[in-house]
Amino acid sequence: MQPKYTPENVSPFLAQVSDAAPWREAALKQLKVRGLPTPKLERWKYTNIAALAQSGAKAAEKTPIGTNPVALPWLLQTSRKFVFVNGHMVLGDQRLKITSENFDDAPAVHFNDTMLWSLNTALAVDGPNINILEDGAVFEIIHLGQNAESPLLASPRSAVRVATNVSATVIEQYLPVGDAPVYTNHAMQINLKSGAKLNHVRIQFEGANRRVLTSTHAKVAKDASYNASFLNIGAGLSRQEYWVELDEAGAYAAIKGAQLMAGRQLMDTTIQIDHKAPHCASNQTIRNVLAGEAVGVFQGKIYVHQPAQKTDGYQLCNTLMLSDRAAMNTKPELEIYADDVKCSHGTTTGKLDEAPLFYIRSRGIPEAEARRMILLAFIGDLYEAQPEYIADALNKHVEGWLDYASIHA
Amino acid sequence: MFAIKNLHAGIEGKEILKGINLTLEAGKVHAIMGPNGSGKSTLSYVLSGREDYEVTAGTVTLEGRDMLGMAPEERAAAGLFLAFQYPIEIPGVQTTTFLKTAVNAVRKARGEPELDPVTFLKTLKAKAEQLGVKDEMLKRPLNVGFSGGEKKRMEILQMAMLEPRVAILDETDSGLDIDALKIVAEGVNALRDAGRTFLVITHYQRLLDYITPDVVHVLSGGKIVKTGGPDLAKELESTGYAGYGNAA
Ligand SMILES: Nc1ncnc2c1ncn2[C@@H]1O[C@H](COP(=O)(O)OP(=O)(O)OP(=O)(O)O)[C@@H](O)[C@H]1O
Ligand SMILES: [Mg+2]
Repeated sequence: MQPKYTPENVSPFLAQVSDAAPWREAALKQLKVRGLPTPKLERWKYTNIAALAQSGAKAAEKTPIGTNPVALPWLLQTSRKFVFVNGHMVLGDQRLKITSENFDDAPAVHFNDTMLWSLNTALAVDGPNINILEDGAVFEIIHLGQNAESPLLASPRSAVRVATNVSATVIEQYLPVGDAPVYTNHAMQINLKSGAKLNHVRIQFEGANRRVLTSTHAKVAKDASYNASFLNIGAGLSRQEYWVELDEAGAYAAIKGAQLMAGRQLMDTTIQIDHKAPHCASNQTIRNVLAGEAVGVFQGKIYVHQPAQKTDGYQLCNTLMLSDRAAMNTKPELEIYADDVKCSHGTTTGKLDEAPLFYIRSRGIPEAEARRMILLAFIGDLYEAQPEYIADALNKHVEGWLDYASIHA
Repeated sequence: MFAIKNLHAGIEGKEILKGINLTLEAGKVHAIMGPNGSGKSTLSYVLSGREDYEVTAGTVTLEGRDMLGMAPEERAAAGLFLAFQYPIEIPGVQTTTFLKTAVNAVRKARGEPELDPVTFLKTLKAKAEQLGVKDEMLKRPLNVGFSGGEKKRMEILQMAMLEPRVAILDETDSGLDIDALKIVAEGVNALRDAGRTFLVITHYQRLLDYITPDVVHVLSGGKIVKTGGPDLAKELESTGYAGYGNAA
């Protein structure tokens, strides 16, 4: 049998670690034993990132921003703005920077196969460290990759803390700028104090040559709620992981989003929600649309620890296959150690239904428009609860994708 | 004139329509009655172009134009409308938006300019009121959660908005209460004019009390087995289909 862990595949990157800061130690130790994930690991069965190890990618250096930041597609004029270029924070309040003092490396302890997180810890140089005290504050982060002739590995790092009873919004966008072969490996640490609310929106529409890997770890305290919404439409390969810990009673997490893929894209959303205290609820609502020869992955786990009585865990993953050549892999998982819990999960995978298509066309609406209507409706309600400026941006991207997919399906 | 000649059609290799001949003159109302499973809905689907049915012989023309080679949306633009026996729910698409898209798509295909939003809304409101369709329903996703009767009214509202030349009503009366039946019949009667043809599929004389047909046909076993005047429907009400040999 082949070994589970292949430490040699990470050595080229370990040679590029910029300094011997003490907070990198634990991560380096893990990487030296485990290396980068391979399909031999259960949670990495469907997504092979071997290309990263073989790419000869160099840790990206800091370069100035190549575009006028004002011209970037910010969603809100009054938000506080950060720009990463190739993983380095080039625009944003310097007082809100991650330093060795405020560095928080929590997840390596509990979750399995956190090597990408560790790789980020080993290589990350900077990023925003956002401490939100002001109710209603909106922060926007834009990730850009640029000026790369040979493959680069970008390691943006960010941390968000929301203070007691404060509601805030963080919007991340991964934009295409050119189509340089950049691997982005983002690690994001989120801490919500009691009663805090975070609306975390992620829109990923990178170019086809990009590989986007994100690990988001959220810790949610008493009566706090973490609401994540995502829309993934870009990148040749993407894997986003959400690890959420509902630490205290009344904590809530919702992760809702769509993966829209075409051509030879691979998109992977892998979630684990840990219920660690009683009376917590979680909701995972995932929609996938696959065209061309795309491969989709959804792995979602609800982990109910022994003290987490009265847990309410919900998970639903709906997939629409527009092509016979595409493939969807879904793996829902429940691991329950408490006895008084309510957990449900479901998946559906199907083709576009012919009956509504015929009904709409019989009213004179052309086939392409009829398909578009049905697809929009399939995704539509995911973003219903968003404020208008966010819902509009998300829907604009969905419609843009539908135009694209109707040609490339 | 809407002409159906020797129409044979089926699904999954099973022949259901076995040579239908019907000539529907402009301005006339034809009723089709017939036992369950005789092929009435199949006929309505085949005429409006549902792709899972296969036409094996025959022709269908509207004012001399071949219909069978057209896509469903082209048939709608040419003036065909089907009020479904079982209207489909379209989640996520607001009824008003749907109707506007449909009306403008048909206008575009006919080379007419799009309706401006104000005119469209005014027309829609007036027709909705006539049919007792509440404003609130127009804001909801099309047919989602509508009661059986509400769905049928919505079909007639769509018909009124699209102003077809040939309207096929497939059991529009089933699921309607007596008041709704009157309202729907009035809606249909309001649209009766010299240029428009109706094909009304029903099981009951009651609808035909309100919408008086010019011609009544009996469809049985995939064929028209009898044609007569309005009295034929009354006669069927008392005798049933015994003696009309359902070959299906
Ligand atoms: N997809 C299908 N596969 C096989 N047989 C079918 C299919 N669809 C319809 N049929 C059959 O075709 C026949 C005609 O059905 P149709 O729905 O046209 O009848 P109908 O006259 O409208 O009946 P009703 O009065 O009950 O509405 C029936 O025997 C039905 O079972
Ligand atoms: Mg029928």
